[in-house]
Amino acid sequence: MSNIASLQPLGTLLAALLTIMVLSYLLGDNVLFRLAVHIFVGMAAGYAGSIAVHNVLIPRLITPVMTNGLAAFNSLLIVPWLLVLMLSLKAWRSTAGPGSLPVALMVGVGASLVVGGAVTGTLVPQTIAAMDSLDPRAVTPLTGETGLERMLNVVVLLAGTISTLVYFQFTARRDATGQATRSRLATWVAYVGRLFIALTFGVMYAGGLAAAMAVLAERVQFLLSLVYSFFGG
Amino acid sequence: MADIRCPMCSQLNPEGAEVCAFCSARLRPLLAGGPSADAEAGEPESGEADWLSRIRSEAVRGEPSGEPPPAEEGAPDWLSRLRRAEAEEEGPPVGEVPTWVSEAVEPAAPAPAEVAPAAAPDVPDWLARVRERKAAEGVEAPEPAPESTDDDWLGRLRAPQEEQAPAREAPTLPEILRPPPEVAPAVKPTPGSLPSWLPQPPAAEEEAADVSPPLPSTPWEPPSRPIATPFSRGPVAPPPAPAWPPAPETPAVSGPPDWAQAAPELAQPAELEGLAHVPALLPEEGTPFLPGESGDFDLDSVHLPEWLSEVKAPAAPSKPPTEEQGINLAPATLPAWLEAMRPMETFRPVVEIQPEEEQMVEAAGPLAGLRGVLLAEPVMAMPRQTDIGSTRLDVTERQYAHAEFLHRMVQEEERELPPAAAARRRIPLTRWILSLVLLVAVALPMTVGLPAFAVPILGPPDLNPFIGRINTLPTDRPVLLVVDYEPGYSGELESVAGPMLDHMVARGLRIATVSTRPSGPPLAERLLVRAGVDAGYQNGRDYLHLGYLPGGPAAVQLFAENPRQAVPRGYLIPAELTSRSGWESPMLSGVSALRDFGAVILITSGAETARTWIEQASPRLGDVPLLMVLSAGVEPMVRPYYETLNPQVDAILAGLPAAAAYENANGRPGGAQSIWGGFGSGVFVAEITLALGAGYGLLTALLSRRRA
Repeated sequence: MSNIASLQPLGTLLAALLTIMVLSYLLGDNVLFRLAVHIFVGMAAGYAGSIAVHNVLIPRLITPVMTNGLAAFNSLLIVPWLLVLMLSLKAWRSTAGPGSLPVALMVGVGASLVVGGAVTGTLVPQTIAAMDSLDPRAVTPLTGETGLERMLNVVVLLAGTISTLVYFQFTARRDATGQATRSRLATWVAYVGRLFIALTFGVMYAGGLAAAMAVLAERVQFLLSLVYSFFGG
Repeated sequence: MADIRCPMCSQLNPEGAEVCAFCSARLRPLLAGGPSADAEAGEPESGEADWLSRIRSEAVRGEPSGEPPPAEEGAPDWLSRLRRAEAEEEGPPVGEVPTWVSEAVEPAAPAPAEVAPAAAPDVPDWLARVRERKAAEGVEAPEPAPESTDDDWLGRLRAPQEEQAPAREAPTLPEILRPPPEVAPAVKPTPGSLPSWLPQPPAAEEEAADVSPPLPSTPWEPPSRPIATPFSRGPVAPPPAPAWPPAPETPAVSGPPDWAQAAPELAQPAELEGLAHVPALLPEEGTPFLPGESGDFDLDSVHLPEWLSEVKAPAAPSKPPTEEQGINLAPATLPAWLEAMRPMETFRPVVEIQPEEEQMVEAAGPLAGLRGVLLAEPVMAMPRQTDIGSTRLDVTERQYAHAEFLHRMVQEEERELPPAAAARRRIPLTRWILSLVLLVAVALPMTVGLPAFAVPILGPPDLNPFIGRINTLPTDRPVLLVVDYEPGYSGELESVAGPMLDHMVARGLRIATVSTRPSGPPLAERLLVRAGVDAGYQNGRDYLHLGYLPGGPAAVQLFAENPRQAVPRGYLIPAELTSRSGWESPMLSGVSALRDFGAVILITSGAETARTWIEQASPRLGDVPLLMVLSAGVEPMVRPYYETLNPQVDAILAGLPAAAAYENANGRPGGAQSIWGGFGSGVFVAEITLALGAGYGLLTALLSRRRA
């Protein structure tokens, strides 16, 4: 632990150096920026791999066998081992066929979970919440909105929801010239939905800008504190 | 010696073979006047020179070259001469020049129509002798033999037809508008030259004098029975008198010929012969006659036989039919109902009969060398472009534009770009200036304290509920802290989560961390070390890192159901825990499910991660609150789960302003307030830059529109 503590100043210097290398992108694409990016990518991949080996593979596959020997090969261990071996066959093109089974298993299970969770956790609750919002007597438990404020909020929410859905309706009837055109009402509603979408993107961009500005301020503060520590004691 | 391959069966035949030995197809094309024809003739000059040159020379001299050979006994002279000539295969007998040779040699000879049959220059001598012999024997001279008549008048009948045949051709006119073919009697038949089965036509006065003996005169009368024409709906009146009414001094003839009766339109009187146009078969009701249409017709536009013209106007010289006369026929006037029934332009036959000169010569097969033969390939099988409108694409302007765009895209993909020249290096002054301004704006408040931005006293409306949730968390149960953000967002999220962690540490809450990202456990250690260093928080006693949770949404669901199986090994587990698993820690002794935690707090920078925990873990939390510390960019996506009547997220802490207000509420300035000045100054500069950029864009757009 003391060795790690002694390396702390070196780590701070490396962090400052990498920060400057990344900020050098303000001058344009250069070698320092690309070197810093390569270092980050390589470190992230290497660290993820080491975590997967130490926290997943060793405790789940190796340790049971090392501890209990062949007696550990029960159904709960044989199946993971088999899937791992099949997945490792994808490293070679000639034997990549069997490796598709564990990949398909992972993708299928993941997709089913995502879809099921989206239906039960997002679609149904949000739909019910939107319908409940039309009740003027309802009071938001967390924000405490009620009365006219809530009614106005509900109207804006309803208008935004409907207009956005209308905007993403890409079916229309064809006119005499064969061109698909929307009705005038649908065009206007879709235009309102377009405004809501633009407003949402603007809010998300503002949030991303605020987050980036917070990160920049934190990095500038880090560099200034380092400079102060070197020159100001 | 090269063999000849049959164009039909592709078999090889000897070189001299004319027909295929396998399929009997002709191997050599028949080309009139071509070299192959000459070659087939064997002796083209010598074979002709024997008898043809003799005939030519006789015709040129105008007298026979020798006396005819004596006739055989028991056979007529002309027959014996014919037999001998056929046996010798050398043409007609010596001393007899056919009429066609004489006409060919003597172009200055009078027209056949003007030659009286009494002069009989075209009657061969041998035929004249036969007639004299028959007359001397007291036997009525028989009708001229078909051979002799064919040699005389029928040959003349054919000659004008052959001469007029090209004139009748009107390839440019449609079939329906072409003039009707002219009838054969373009040459006036002379008395005595016609066979007996044809009535003798009348002749001129001087011609009739030479004719002997005159035939019995029987005045011809038009038939009393009405004649039915192909286009008439009923019997029509008989045609008027023929074109050669018998003159008083003219020897009477038996009447109009049969062919004239069969075609009464050719024997119409002179006042009706010169019709300017073919009248409508069934005139429309109420259709007025145009001026000059009733009876004033152009006589010159109608082509009449020469002999008929002579009868009408003997003094007028007969004009040879010209091509202009054949083409300048007046078009027919069709009634409206018939005009409506005319085939459309698109349904007209595509193949039109071309002039013989333009017709193709067959190049293969047994008909090779012949011109104008029917095509071996059916016309329907020949490629052509249909004019039927139903097959045309109804392309709109928009579709055409799309097609053009797609075409340009394909062409652009196929186009090989030339090596781009090294672009001149431009200094990004605008970029540098903006970067410098932004860095200075962020650094100035941290160095000189200016510009100063006051820390917000009033936080966002959802801050108090968040603080209230932290205050009500039970201290006997650990709090699960999910650290799911990338290291790049640590500068923001550490500042935002800092006051919350300070608050939790101040309350003495035990914290267990987990992460679905490999980089999560180290970030969690960094957070808790910073927050608990002053309070003396220790790893394994006050906080614990359960480690990395692999598997995405499935792992989150598994962790919500059975957390002990989902995360078998922790991160930086104290050495006293031999199993290297944080679940052996006394801090987590009573935790077997997600609902056993006092609260679940998610720190994330991604909307997907927040939605995964809401969808997979929220239904299994029970009464355990779900709180979220979010990056400013994720807040709009998570807020719908919060501002509902049945919220799935119980509290939200998002953004640096909320964190700064939280620090104010804690009474302990932290990382949020330390960077608040730089953050506020940077956001201000960014907003000014955005406003200037938007104004510049609008101004540029307005100027460009005004120029346009």
